[in-house]
Amino acid sequence: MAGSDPQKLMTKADKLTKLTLTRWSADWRSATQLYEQAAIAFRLAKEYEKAKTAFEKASKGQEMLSSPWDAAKHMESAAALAKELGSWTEVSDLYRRASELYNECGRSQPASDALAKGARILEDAAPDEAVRMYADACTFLEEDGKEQMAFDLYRAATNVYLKLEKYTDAASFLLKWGVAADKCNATNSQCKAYLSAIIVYLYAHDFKQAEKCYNDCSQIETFVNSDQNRCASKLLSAYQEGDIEEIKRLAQTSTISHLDHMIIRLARKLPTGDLDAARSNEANQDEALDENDLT
Amino acid sequence: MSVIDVLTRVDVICRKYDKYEIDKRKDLNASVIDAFARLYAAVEADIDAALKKSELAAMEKNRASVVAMNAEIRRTKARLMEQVLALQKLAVKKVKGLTREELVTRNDMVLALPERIQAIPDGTASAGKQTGGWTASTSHKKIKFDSADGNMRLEDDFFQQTEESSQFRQEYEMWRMKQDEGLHVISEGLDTLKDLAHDMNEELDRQVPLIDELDTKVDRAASQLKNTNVRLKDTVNQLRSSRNCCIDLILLCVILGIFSYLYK
Repeated sequence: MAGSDPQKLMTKADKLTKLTLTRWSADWRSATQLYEQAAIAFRLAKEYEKAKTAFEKASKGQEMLSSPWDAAKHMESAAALAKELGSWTEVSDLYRRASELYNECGRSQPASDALAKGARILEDAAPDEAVRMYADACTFLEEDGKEQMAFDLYRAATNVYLKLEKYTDAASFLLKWGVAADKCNATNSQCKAYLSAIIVYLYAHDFKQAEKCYNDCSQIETFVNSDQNRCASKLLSAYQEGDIEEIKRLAQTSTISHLDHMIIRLARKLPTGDLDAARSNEANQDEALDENDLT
Repeated sequence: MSVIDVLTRVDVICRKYDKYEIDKRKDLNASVIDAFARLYAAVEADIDAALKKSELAAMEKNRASVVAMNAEIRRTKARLMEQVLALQKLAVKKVKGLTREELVTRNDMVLALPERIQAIPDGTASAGKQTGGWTASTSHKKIKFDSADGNMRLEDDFFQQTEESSQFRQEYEMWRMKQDEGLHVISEGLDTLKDLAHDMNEELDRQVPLIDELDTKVDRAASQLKNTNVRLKDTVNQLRSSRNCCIDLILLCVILGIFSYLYK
């Protein structure tokens, strides 16, 4: 009985919407209602595929009735059901569509929330897509001036990058996070973001980048006056001297222990590989300079 | 001969033999004899003046002037010590008309001078400590002299003390290490607190605009509710108008009549 009823509702609604010779305009209002009822019934019956279709149609109906908010809500439900089905492309499409609808309403927060939900689901299955969705979500919020809300998204995106071991991308994301924090005067988060970026560069054996990053960050006054700056400079000088003990000791300090746990894990694993490379780079640089001076 | 003649004769004889008189000779030869005597006289005069000043200082009530006077006395003493050195040199010089004994006495006099000079009180520590050589007024030479002198004595005492003092030092080091550890723990705790406080600050900053939005929305909803309530009240009042009440009452009576008729 439960299976037939929603099916009947579906067929009835379909009939209402199909344009034939007898029907010149679709009756979306009643059709949407029927679709909604059918979708809920399908979901209770755990027939996800049909429920998803029903929700999609309901959403279309709401769109026709020019209420994008309800349409977006139905899209989200459809996407959640797609997650149950495990069809990741559909998940991403549906969530994107939902966020577009939310944007139509002019509500950026739910839009980014929708994208964030989708990205979280796709973290394991399709991490690249997930990162893209996170980035879009952050853009929506920043356009609307709500950077504060974007911090969690930045964190999640950075974690995904780190899991994928794309360290340069992670570091650039951290720097973007720093910029967002700067705009809303969240100095603590900003300094932590910069320190995390430097640690990520060091973890990726990229000493030059780390130094460049540190020099760039030193231009920013809030960073220069912070504990994180001191920690970063100590870390870099320990790297230059090749002092492993010092690096390990610094990784245990409270400044680094207050960062994100993924970053802490990286920091504890420092130093990775050749400190000598870093040192010899420095030495070569110095030697080159000396020769120039002599000649 | 008369008395007057005798007196005149005595005067002439005295004048004739004047050059043999010792006192006058001394004055005559003052310039020849003494550099030494002059200097000695000057030093003695200075010593007396310094003594008088120290007496004044002892009686003085105002501390600042006491200090100033003592400083002056110390300066005078230093100067006199230098002059004593010069005197010593002069004392050894052989001067015309001076006997051997007088030379020796001169030396003794000069040797006695430093003690007299040092004995002038100048407000520093008591004379008893002076022998120990710890006072500031004594010259550095004296201090070195004493410590070099008492070296052997000090070393014996020294060893005895190091056993106690090394134990004390060990304890001290241990307590200091414990204190360092404790302070380290406190500093870690404070760091955590600081971080927490910063995060709370940022979170609150995040919540402020949200709450403002919430505030406006709730205000709007509240005013809408008020409006609705007022309208509802009006509607209910209308419903309860007298005409409707009378009709209700009449109908009730009719129904009661029918029931009573049915069951009677």
